[in-house]
Amino acid sequence: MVLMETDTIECAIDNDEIHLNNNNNKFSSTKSQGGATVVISPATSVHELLECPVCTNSMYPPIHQCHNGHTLCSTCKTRVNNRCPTCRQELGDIRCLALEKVAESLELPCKFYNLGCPEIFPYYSKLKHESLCNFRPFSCPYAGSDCPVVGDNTFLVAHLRDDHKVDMHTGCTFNHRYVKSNPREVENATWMLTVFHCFGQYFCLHFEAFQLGMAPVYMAFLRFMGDEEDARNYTYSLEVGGSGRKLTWEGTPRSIRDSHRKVRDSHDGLIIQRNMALFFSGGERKELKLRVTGRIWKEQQGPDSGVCIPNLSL
Amino acid sequence: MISGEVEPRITDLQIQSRVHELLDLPVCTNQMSSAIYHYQCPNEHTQELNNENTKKKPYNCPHSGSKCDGTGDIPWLLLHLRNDHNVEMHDGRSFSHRYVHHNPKHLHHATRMLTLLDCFGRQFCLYFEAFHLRKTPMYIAFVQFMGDEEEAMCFSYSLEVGGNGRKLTWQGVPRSIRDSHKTVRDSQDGLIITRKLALLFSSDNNSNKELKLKVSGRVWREQ
Repeated sequence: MVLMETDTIECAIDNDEIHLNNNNNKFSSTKSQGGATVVISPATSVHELLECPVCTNSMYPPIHQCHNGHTLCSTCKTRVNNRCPTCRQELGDIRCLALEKVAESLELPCKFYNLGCPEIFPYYSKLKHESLCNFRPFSCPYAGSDCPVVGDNTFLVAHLRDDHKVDMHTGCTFNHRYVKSNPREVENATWMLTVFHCFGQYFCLHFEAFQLGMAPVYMAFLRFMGDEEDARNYTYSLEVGGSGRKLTWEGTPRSIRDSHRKVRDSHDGLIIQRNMALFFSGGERKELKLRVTGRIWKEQQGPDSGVCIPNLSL
Repeated sequence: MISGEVEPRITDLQIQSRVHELLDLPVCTNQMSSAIYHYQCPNEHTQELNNENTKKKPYNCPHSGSKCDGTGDIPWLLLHLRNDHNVEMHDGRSFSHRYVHHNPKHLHHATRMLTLLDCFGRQFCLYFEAFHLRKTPMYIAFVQFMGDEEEAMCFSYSLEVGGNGRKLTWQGVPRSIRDSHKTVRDSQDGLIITRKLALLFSSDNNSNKELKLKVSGRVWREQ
């Protein structure tokens, strides 16, 4: 199932009534349909009033109206050339404060209720919760242009494989050789993504070249397709080396809830300066032929034990 | 190792860092003052290792902070470092230090610390330095051998930093102190991390954005 991230209005007609926190019962209406009673709750009516007639998104302050009382969200107001889209009259600058205040008393279920979220929020804090809701679908972890596709992990893995042509591997160890014939061509960041399937989970191994300040570097790091809490059950290591030298990174995979760019910019992974990467590549050191090995295993990283070590002040 | 490829010799790395200067790769633009010393004949070198009263070229003082001009043999340098530069010497082949700084973001100039290690009947220099690599604040740690390159290659060392569930380990070959500290630093032949990562390591029980970097390591003989 593909969900696109737009704020849609749910019509909450089901057996559970949505209770308002004050007594607006005089607005409720009931209909009988063949013996079953369907309740259209007050929340639904007010919530429908808060839907912009143009873009159908939920409206947030400042909410505007025309002389005839037709409402409009502030985003659409900038695009209608001062004409009310409902009645074509001149728009002006009237604010619909009453509707904004009524919205304060509205409580609605999280839009991910159908994915399992049981929580109910006031209108004005619902959006913030939804951006952090643990039941919200995952975003496509593909690096580069921000792919808008969302879904559960099974769906996203198929999407990565079929739409982004990402390599899929089964197993928890890897041994990759990254080759680039002209490594000086790193003006724009380039990246590679491989997906690993092990322990019943999916992991994204990222490798990329970018500029750290003004120095060209390569970075490799692992992300976990799932939430941070579950990511902490795993540990991974990455290693590069050659000519009597070896660099090894060990860490906890980041959740794909953290964007690829955020993890990259936190330096939370194996970073190698380009000339060291070229040194490890051997040969003439004009070509990048970097062998990166690594593995994933099930282990929680605890905090370091408090061993007594002398302090040296800089 | 990919079969058929030749492993570059250590001197290639040294030369490479000079070539990098010319090609404007990320190294500092200061002129390197030390030359690369070559041996003429392995036999001669073997004699030098066995002979305590050898007439080798004197070494430059490895304490690079004060642009010291001191030169001498190893025993002289050890006294000089202790008495004139207050450098500490640690016995043993493994070590563990914690580098602290209350305001790491205020370290605008390069700051370095030197500690000596005494093991296997020899001495090693352990450097830890804060510097900027093309405007990005970094830390580097590496070991140099107080002696010549031929003997340095008999040893290996490892350095480990970590914290907050993460660990970075470097394993390398100590460079001879015939190479200046700056040469080794600029060739990045050591454990090198960004300040951002160092602060990530430091953030165990530390909300103050202080640097509290634990660096541990050991030296061992390869043959």
